Amino acid sequence: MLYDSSAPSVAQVRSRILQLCQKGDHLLAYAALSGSPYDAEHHPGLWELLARQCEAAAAGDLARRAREALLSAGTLHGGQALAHTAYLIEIGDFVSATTLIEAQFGTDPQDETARIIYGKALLGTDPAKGLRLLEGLETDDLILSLRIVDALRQNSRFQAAARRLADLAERHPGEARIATRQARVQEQQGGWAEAIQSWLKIVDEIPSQRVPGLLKVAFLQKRFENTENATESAAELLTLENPTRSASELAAQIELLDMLEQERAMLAAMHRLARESARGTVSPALWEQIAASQVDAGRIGLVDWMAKLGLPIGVTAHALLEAARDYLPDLGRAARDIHAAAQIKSPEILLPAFKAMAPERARPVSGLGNILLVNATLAAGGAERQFVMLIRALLKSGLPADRISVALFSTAEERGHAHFLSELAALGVRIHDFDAISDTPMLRPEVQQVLALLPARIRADLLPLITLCQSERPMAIHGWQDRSSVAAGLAGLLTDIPRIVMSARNMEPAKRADPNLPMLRGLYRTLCAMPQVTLTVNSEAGARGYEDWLDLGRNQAKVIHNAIDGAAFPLLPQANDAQPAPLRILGVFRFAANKRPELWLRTIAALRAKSSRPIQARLVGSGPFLDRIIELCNELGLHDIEIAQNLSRPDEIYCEADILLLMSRVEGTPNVVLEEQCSGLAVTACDVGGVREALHDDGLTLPSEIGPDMAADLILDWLDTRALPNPEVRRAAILGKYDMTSLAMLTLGLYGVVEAEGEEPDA
Amino acid sequence: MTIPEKTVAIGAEPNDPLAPILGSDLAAEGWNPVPLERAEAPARVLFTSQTAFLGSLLFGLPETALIEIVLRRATATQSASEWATGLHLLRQVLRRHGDRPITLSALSDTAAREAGAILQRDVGVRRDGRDPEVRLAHGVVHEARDEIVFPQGRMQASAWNWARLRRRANLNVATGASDDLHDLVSFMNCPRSEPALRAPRFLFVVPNGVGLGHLTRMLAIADSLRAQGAGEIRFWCFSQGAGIIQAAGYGVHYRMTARHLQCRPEDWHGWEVAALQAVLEQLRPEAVVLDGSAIDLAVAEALRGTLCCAPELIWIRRAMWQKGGAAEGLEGGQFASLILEPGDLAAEDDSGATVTYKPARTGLSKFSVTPPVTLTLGNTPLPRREARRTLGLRSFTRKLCLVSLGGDAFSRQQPAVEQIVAAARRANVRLIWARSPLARIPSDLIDDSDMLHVYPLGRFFEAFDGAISACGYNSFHELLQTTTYPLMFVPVQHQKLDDQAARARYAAKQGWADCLEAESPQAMAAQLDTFFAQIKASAAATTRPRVRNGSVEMAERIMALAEPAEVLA
Repeated sequence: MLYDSSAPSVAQVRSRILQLCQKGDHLLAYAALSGSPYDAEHHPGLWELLARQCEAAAAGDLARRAREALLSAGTLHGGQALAHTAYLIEIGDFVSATTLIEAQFGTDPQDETARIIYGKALLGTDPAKGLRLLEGLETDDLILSLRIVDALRQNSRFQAAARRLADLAERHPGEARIATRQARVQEQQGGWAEAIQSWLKIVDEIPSQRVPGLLKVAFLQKRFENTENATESAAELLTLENPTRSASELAAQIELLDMLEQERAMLAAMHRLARESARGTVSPALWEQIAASQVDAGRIGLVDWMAKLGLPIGVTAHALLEAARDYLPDLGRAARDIHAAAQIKSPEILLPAFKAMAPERARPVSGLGNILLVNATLAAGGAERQFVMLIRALLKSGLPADRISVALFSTAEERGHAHFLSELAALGVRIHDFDAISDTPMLRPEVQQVLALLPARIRADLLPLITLCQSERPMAIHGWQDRSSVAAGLAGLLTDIPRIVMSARNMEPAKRADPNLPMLRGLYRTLCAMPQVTLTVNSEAGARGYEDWLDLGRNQAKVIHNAIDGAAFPLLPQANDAQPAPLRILGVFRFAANKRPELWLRTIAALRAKSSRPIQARLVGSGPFLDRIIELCNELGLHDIEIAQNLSRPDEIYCEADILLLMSRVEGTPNVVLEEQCSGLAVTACDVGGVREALHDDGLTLPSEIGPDMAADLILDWLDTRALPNPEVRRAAILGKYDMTSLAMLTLGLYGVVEAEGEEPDA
Repeated sequence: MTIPEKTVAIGAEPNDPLAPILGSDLAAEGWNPVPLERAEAPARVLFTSQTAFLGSLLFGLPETALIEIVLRRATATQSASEWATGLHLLRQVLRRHGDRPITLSALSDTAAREAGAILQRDVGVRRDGRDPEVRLAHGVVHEARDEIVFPQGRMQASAWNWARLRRRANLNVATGASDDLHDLVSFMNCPRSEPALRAPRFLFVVPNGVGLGHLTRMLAIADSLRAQGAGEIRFWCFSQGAGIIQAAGYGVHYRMTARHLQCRPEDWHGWEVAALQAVLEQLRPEAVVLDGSAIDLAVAEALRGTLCCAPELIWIRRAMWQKGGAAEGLEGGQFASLILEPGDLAAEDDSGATVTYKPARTGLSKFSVTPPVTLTLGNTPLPRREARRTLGLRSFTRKLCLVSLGGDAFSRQQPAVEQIVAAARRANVRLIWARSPLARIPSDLIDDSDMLHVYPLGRFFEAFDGAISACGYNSFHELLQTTTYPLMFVPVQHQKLDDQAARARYAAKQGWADCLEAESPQAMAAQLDTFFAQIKASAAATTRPRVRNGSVEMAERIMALAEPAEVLA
């Protein structure tokens, strides 16, 4: 490089920089260096000097500019590289931060500071790896600690997160960010009652968290189906004495009305908000927030309504509406009617697009390809157990293990999603956890457009599954339970899989309180009409329930019964029918609202009050209602009830029992009813779903809507008039109806692997 | 006893049919109902449903006002659990507002009982045990298809403001109706509060027509209404001739169409509805009178507004549409209470949609044809001498022929204009050109001294010895009925105009006037020469019809509709 002889020397510029920085004129110093002939490529020292001086004087913006000059010149090294990485982390650009630090220090930095900063960057790009670097780190940096906690939560490591939070809480008492995370971790661990208490404490003690706290409390209480408490919390949130509510408060209140399924009230509020907006009294940020949540919920028409009124819904929502243009019906002037607009929802508006993708006829299956089975989790539930049973049956029928892949939305152990994971792994099939699928699927733009318009929940399930289908290329995909079935159906459709099986496991969808179910109905219906798709249900009653719900013809839903492994449930010693001996009643169910644990306990209390024979009761299960159950046992004086959790061995579960009592509001084909009868025991249960089909002749079905007194009377009559013997007959009947070979053969028939009864085999 | 006007804020869900019903009742009782979001220190707040109340909590409640909530049963879009949860939520909110006077009422005994059970509070019944009133029309509401079926026609359930519907009809519900609709219908069948008697007010909606036809006709009707004792009459005017209305002594809200504003029609629609509703809320007219070939949906929507006191909608719709033209505008008939057709002397030859098309929904609209409507007030013909003096026409040697070809006619009728000028020159007849106030394009064919800029033109007809005119409704009827000198009609063909050719041909067939429709320039010249020869000969027609002005009859029918509706018991 040639220098003008009149230009200042490097030493002069250096001295000028120092002089100006000493006087606090950092901007002039920056200008002096920028205007000098000494660029960052050939004179990085001068630029580093300027960056250090600015940094030391808290002139961060100028320091950043100096570092960016070095970065562009390829001469950003050492401390300045670290400082710049820290800046990138601060602004949330974790990808650039990770790239920069890896380029400077490699993927295993030895320098302690570099290692920490690298870990921080990785928390945003690869949390599991970031955690490996930082987990053991003792630090006083609260923000870093919280990031570590968030990464632990993201990796479903709730116990470690809880420990770290407890430690932080001691050091930073009253810190809102710690308290809210503690409550969230409790919720994620299934401790709803504990989480409610934590949130209530937050509401009382941390004014800034009152709104999100009350929203959370109401949400959790609703999950508990405790309307009284949920509405009480909601009322508190809706009547906060604050004349000027912030955008986030208003958004929380609208979310609250939505969560409580008060759609009309929510629309009334939004309509009024829109009018207030015209007067400039509503923050634009609020509409962006509302639009985002409505898009996630699939209420595209409502977002369009906002856009038509000129409300500031944000660039993302506008782009989405642009993509939705072809699918939105033209409401004409009625588009300004909020109620008409609210009826336009995804996925309904997308159904014609999905219909158009269907083949005219099912593609023939040639040879033995891979089978991809999909379920949400492997939690400790009957449906999950049957999922594993199906795989076991398929293997037993001769299907090689290397032909079976299993996709699971989550296998997080601390969320309780891995109850059957080791059992499944032992079968030798390939297992894919969605959390480990980071690649995005390759899709045509028009398909991408359609998927972008799906409600967030459905989209989140679908994208990794499509990726998996594209890599596995199975000949059949089989979804288990509603959520997985719809995801499997769509993924199979979009990746042209020849056979799609959707297996519903639950009963009477029209009567279930699941707020997500209506969203799936249209997709279910559309998929069922396609030639390559079969819907199966595990009971006659269930099949009729789905046919009614989906407006399908009779027998369009095929019945494939559960299977039971007789060897796993041997005949138990004969029950003790002698009058003086206590009657041993067993309850085996998930501690959740739809199993009606309160009704179960109250029935036990009524039996004790009415029966001359002593009653012993034992509950086996786990779930969010555990605390409520314990509380109620104390309230009803049932102090001696044994509550056993986390049992999986049949002999542990079914020992010490004479009869099984089940009071569920909703059931499919309850495994526990089959297993208990297979072990020779008698069963009484409410007449819901497939219970009646699953009960042997001598079982007792109780009316589905029944009070504890009447239930107790009926049970006592039943015990008086029927004998407990005949366990062998009971066992034989169950094993005959629910056998593994039938399950496997019928299922393989649907895959096109074997000839299904009454159907032509595929070429 | 006069109740002093106090403000009551109405909190309602959008398009809740109960809101205008209660709003009308309150206004009749002397209250001043205003929308909740615009209310400043109201004495009362009335929520027409619990959902409206819950939705308004985000905005806080007026501090001192008495609050009343009408508790409703589940609507068609509400599940039983949504309804019940809403009431549980309301119970908790009321508990938190324990010290505020909040009154609860319901539309039916069942609603009061069911809601009261969840709320654990006493709930009053608004109907108060009154027996249903028996009205002239009886309709059945089919909720699932948003329709009401009357023996005389069907209408969308949301076509009318239900406070307006209540004046005319008893309703029943078809099978499968929601609980709320059952309550609503039985409530609206009960007697309503009668407003104090006053001279009826009107809002006239004038569309943006090609010429001044709509405006002239509406002025004629307004003048007749005023003569019959109407109260305030105001105009909502899209016509560029708004100044003419103002000059006639009426208040005018001058409006622009979406095309004029160059904005999106849907945006315009929203603004228009809001602006019109604001005027309706303030004026509270007994009826809105609209003249045009269609009812703009913005007008129909504005009339459904909660607080506009449910005016009737009267549609003045002339006939003689062009054959084969679009007929869908006629579907708007369901929005109107009364469709008045100004009679047309050429009706016998009408083959347009108003004669041939049967709209699917006509609702409760009654149809009536009156004698032709022409402007009379300020349009009484002046004697010849006075008319000429006023116009500054001092030619005593040459005959004078009026030429009136409508707005911007010169550009459309250029060949005919040239022929007319040439023929007049040959006959030594002086042409006096009437220039429409809406004309924008000057013509270099005509000397400005021969140009008239007057409105209305009718009072000067006697100044002339003959007339050549376009054949729009007003020119046709005014000229035929007030003159005896030779007339020649030059039909203007325009897709937005009526069938002028049919009208002109009919007049020619009856021997009332000539129709300039020659096949060649030569034939046209010959026809014009004959016509000017008649003028020169001072020929007089004797067979032209003379009928009474229909504007009086129209005004009578409009006034009758604005009176309280007939009730049988």
